[in-house]
Amino acid sequence: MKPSLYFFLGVFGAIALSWAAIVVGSHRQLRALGTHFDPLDNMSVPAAMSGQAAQGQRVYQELGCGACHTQQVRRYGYGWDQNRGWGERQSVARDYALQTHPQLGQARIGPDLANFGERAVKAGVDRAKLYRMLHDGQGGMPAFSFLFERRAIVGQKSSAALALPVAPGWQVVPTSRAEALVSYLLALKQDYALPEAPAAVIPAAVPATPAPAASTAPAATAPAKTP
Amino acid sequence: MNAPATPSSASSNDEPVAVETQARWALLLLLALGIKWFVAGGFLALIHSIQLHTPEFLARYEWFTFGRVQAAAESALVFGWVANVGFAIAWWLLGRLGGERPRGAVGALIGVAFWNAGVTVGVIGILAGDLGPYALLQMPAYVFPLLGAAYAAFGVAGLAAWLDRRRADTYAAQWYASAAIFALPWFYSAAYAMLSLYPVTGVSQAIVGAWAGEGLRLVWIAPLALAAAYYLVPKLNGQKLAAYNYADVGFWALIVLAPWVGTRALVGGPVPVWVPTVGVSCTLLLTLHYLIVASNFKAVFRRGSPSQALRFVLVGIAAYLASGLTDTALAFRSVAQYTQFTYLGEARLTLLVLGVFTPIAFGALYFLLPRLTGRAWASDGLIRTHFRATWIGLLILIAGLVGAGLTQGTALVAIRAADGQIAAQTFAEIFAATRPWLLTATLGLGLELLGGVLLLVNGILQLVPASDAAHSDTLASAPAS
Repeated sequence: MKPSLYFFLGVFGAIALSWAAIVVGSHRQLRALGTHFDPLDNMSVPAAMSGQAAQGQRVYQELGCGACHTQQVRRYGYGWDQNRGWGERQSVARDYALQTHPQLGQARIGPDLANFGERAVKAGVDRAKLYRMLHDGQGGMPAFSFLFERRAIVGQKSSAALALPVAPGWQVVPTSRAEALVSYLLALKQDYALPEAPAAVIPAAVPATPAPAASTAPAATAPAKTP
Repeated sequence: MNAPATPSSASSNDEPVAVETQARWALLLLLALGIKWFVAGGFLALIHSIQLHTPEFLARYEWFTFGRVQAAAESALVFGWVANVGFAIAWWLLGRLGGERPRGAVGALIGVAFWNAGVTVGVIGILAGDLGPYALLQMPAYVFPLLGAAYAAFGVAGLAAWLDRRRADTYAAQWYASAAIFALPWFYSAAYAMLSLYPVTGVSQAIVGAWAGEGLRLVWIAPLALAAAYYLVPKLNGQKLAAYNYADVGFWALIVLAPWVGTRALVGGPVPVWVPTVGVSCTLLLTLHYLIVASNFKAVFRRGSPSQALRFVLVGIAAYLASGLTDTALAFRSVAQYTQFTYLGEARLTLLVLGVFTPIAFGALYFLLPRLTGRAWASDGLIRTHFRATWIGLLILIAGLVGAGLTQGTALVAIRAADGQIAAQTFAEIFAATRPWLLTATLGLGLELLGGVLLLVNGILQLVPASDAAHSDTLASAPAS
């Protein structure tokens, strides 16, 4: 039995060592991570999500949205996340410190959503437009029509009813899951400053064919964006 | 681990050995349920593949929404097909090489029934919305106790076959088989404990998910395939493996290094930088393992093979070496910034499950099933057609996914133009550009699945008494040594 014992100790030990180093090691490093108090704004960031947004995170996971969408912005210069306007700084561990179900995602068949809420506000995308986007689908995104229900209008038409051609006396309204999901999407923001993640200094113009000599000039003239 | 050069001396003739007679029903149940899951998981994978280029397909049914179908297909193939058939092959070869009567066959039979009930509940649970966000760990947490208890009942039988062995010398096939049987509960229960039982918060979850998911890929699925390959290749062509005395280095290189590589997937992500760095470095070191596997098997490729079973195994070995090469190439940060988050991630898992494990398991099935049923395969033509469907389908499937991944990776590059506007392809444009590739991948997957159906048909025909007259070249071509 001796050789078997050494064999199993070897296999067990090899896996245990990696677990202790990577999983336990990083957990020990990360578990002390709390919120950051910003004395200028007199608030702690990141803020905890509202109840409805936290519910929306569960809906997001239940629908497997992470199969197509990530929620992590890589640093400027590594990938093109920030050039695509997905965030002004890279995502760091503290951004997710309060989340019990972080959705970092595995694939980018659709855009990154780490700052979707912030982008939506800038682009004028409100709840009504988001409901419509979810109901109809868009680009390669399937329609999530099952998040909405057709209901008879009793009294007044719902303010959240979608502008769809339906029979008179009827309306299409978002279910509570659709409402939670949209609240969650609009709450996705990493727009606060953290000491460990200053906003990237993105040159205002990147030449299409960067030559080594020319590339320093635009960078020098571009003012650094301060958080 | 002083090992003789070839396991073919382990059984002196082709008479059924103890494990084939005394564990027959448990092995047959494992194989039958495994093939059932291959067909079921394959159809789910086909739905997923169609939805990639035709998003509206089945989209109005919540149970078949994109993310759920992907998770269900992956779980059915991995915990239904790979777990059942992989364990059957591992248990069988441990029994054959160990030369002792199997223990715990009745317990195994019960365990297998409960395991498959658990996987069924898990896959239905995923379709109903209880899915986790990490690859290979997507089944709902509530099936874990059932799966764990069931696995204990039949996993023990596999480990007993290793511990009870009568021969002092051991073979590479035995090391890989017993390590795989041992690794599944290790990674899965550690992930369950840290993601569900006492969940860690924040990005620590993603680290656990990456570590355990990749651990299952490389320390469970890959060794199951390698165990079958190291057993079947010398057995079927009757020749020693080249450079076999390095096989133990190859084995330990995989076991020691592979558990460290998972976090490479988090490169550039919101985790401490050392976490992915460890993963990237260990991926590069793991090349040693693939080099040794390549040197063990390279002579077999030159000779070619008259045995259909061996041809299947060779396709799997070639795919394994290709997967090692791509893993290494994609590990570099400079490459990963383009390829991360693309279809290449899906291509990697597909290559391992459908490209490496599946052909090797098919080869093992063609060799093993006649020994369990006592009947020859009904049709050689079906086996040959299955072989063609498997390798051509695999080639088309992987080419489609890699093409889609590279198209997507280059299209995600965005450039901020001089006027401050972002000049980048929209996701609708990227979708249109990858669509032809994704259609190709569906075609390949369809062929692959057709092959599985042919095996099923051939297996059912085998049970028809009239087929006794037919003779299989697979059975005949196995050397008598």
